[in-house]
Amino acid sequence: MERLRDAEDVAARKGPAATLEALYRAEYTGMVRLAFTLIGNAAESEEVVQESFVDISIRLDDPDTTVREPGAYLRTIVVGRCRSLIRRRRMMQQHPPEPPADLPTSAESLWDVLHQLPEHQRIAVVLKYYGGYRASEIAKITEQPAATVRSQLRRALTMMRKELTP
Amino acid sequence: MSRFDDDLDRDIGVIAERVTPSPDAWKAIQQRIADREPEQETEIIMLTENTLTRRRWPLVAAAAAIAALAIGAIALVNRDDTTEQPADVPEPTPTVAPGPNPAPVPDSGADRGALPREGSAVEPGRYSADMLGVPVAFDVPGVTSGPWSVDLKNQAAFTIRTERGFVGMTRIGSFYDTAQAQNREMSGLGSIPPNGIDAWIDANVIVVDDADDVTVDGRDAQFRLVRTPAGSGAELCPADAQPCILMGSGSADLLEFNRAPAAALGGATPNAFWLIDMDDFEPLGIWVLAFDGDTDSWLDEIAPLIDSIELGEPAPAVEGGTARISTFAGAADADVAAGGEAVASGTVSFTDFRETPNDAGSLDVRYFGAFSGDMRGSVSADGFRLPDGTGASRSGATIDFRGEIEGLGVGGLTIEEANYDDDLSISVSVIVGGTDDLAGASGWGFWGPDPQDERYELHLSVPAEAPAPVETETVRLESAFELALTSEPEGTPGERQLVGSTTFAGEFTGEAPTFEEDPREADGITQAYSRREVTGSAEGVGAGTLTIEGPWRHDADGNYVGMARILSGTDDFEGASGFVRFDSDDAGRTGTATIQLVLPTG
Repeated sequence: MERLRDAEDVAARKGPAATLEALYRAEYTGMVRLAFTLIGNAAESEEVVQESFVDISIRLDDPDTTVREPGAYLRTIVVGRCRSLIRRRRMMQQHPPEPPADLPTSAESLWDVLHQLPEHQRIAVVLKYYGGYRASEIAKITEQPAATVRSQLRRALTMMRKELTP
Repeated sequence: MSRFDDDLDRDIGVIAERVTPSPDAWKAIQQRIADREPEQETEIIMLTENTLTRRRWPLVAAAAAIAALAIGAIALVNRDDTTEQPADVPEPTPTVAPGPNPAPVPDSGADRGALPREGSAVEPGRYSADMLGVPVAFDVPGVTSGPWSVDLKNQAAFTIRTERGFVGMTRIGSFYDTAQAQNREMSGLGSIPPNGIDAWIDANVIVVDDADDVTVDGRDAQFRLVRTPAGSGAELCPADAQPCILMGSGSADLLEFNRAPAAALGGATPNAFWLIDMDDFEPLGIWVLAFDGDTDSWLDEIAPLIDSIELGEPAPAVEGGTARISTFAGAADADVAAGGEAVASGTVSFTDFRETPNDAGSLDVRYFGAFSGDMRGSVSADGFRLPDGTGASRSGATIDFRGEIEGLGVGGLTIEEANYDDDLSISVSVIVGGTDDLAGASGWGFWGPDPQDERYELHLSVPAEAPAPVETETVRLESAFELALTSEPEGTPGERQLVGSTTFAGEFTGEAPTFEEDPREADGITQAYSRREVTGSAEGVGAGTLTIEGPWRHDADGNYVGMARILSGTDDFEGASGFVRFDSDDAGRTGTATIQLVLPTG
């Protein structure tokens, strides 16, 4: 909250460039890690997030547009780009990415299960457990009804519990 | 959070931290922006250098220091050094951005034991409850809307609530459908259809905003987000939840005291509802409502509770068993001294009150409610209301109370109540039976001191050993009575004494010496408690003496009602119990006496 407010304050006082910079400091690392958890590839994660920053910079520079919550807007863009990437992979029938070599066993199991989940469910789970967002916040980020997000979470967690619980 | 949640939280963090952002990311972003819109390059660089001085950096220094080491950037600087460090490489903070409103973390480590009794504060932690035979454990999370408290519904359900909303649990075996509720038919409890909740929903005016098949602690459950639109006709609900659908356990062996609906589902605000399959037993229902209408965020807040639920195996019902309904209220496990006396009072909250015309030209009356106070529990009543054609009416009911009497324990009471309703209702009652810890209870009660209060006061005593049950037969006798005063001496100031005798004529014929005092007058109401020895004969029974005692009240207009419990009898009335009801419209000088005489058989 503080970081988001910081970016908004900057936007109010300093203009779009300073807003973008504050946003970068507040969000970049987290967004890359969020994207990595979703798509499983470090290089693509940085690509997704950097392109998202480009997207938001254009919006910030547009005098006819007001970005009220740049942090929230950035998250929506990043998640949307990740979703597109996951879909593209699925359409191309690509194999899920391999987990990093040094993951603990339980995290490696989670990696496998995460990448079996449909894209919406995977996004909901990652936003909830890595991002710490509530269903209503995930709904805003993913631009879906909160009830839909809850359904996605329930379905995902049911499947994950089945797969991960000995 | 559950262990599963904890593991998930940990492992997903481990995965995320396997990636380290490039130290050149900021430059890369600027380059991408420049590639797309080259004309903005100068502006961005200038703004960065000129407006964001190094003095801002210490604001994020603690976090940035870690990142600086990780990515090799020179970020943490001397506050006075504003010249030598490149200003166009800001440091990203090394952690993921948390949600704008991170979920409060429950003190899940605290095992709080049984859910406390009604009205108690509920601290965050883990609680257990016996939900009508199903052992339930769950975490109560800390929430932003203030402290939780416990609220009971007919002793058959509980809710825990804050100022924002509540979470309720009960067994669900029956629903009123909308039409039945509208027609105010108590017989309208319908079982959950064989094909499940959806058939019930289809049969009612219910809007489903979300539906899902889920699991709760490994058990199959149906989740529905439902609301009942205005005008759908279900009107028998709390004012803040109209219209609604009523539901509750329909199992007589679980709810031997009544079949009152314990839960109200509906209203324009969406209700989250889980129906959890308990195999061959009634399902467990959980329903959630946000008072402010923001169901989504309320569900987020209470999600740790739902996620943490653990369900035990349902215990078989105990036919005629003890009041285990109260065990979730932290009431039944207390050591209670056998027997004793108590004056208990409770404030009733009616969940339902119905009057239905009957073939006899009067009204059948049924109501349900719950007491809170030092008499806590459910109340249900079957009775009548008989208008007398003058605007006044009299009514009576057999009240079943089920719950706890402070200091005496948990059990059931059967109370005979008489009302004389005018503009100002007056009411008296006597206890004619008890069960469990309250076995053999006797005493009396009344609403008041203002009869239109929702506060009920009960004076009772319980023997140390419950009397052995005997087989009985009941004889109902109607008589007229007349009080003849031989003197009316003044008592102490504010009191009046009546000395004389009362005669009975009709199906019971007899006479009773009478000495009464009017010890209190409030708002025109006179109230007393008296004991009499009535000697006479009853048609078809024989002759003897009945010892009766109980309260009576009359208002300033002379409307009078009295109840007396039959304590004992002699001769042909040996072993008698029951009660006598007195009705009068001249302050008890003349009227009718209705005797419910219960005699042992054999």
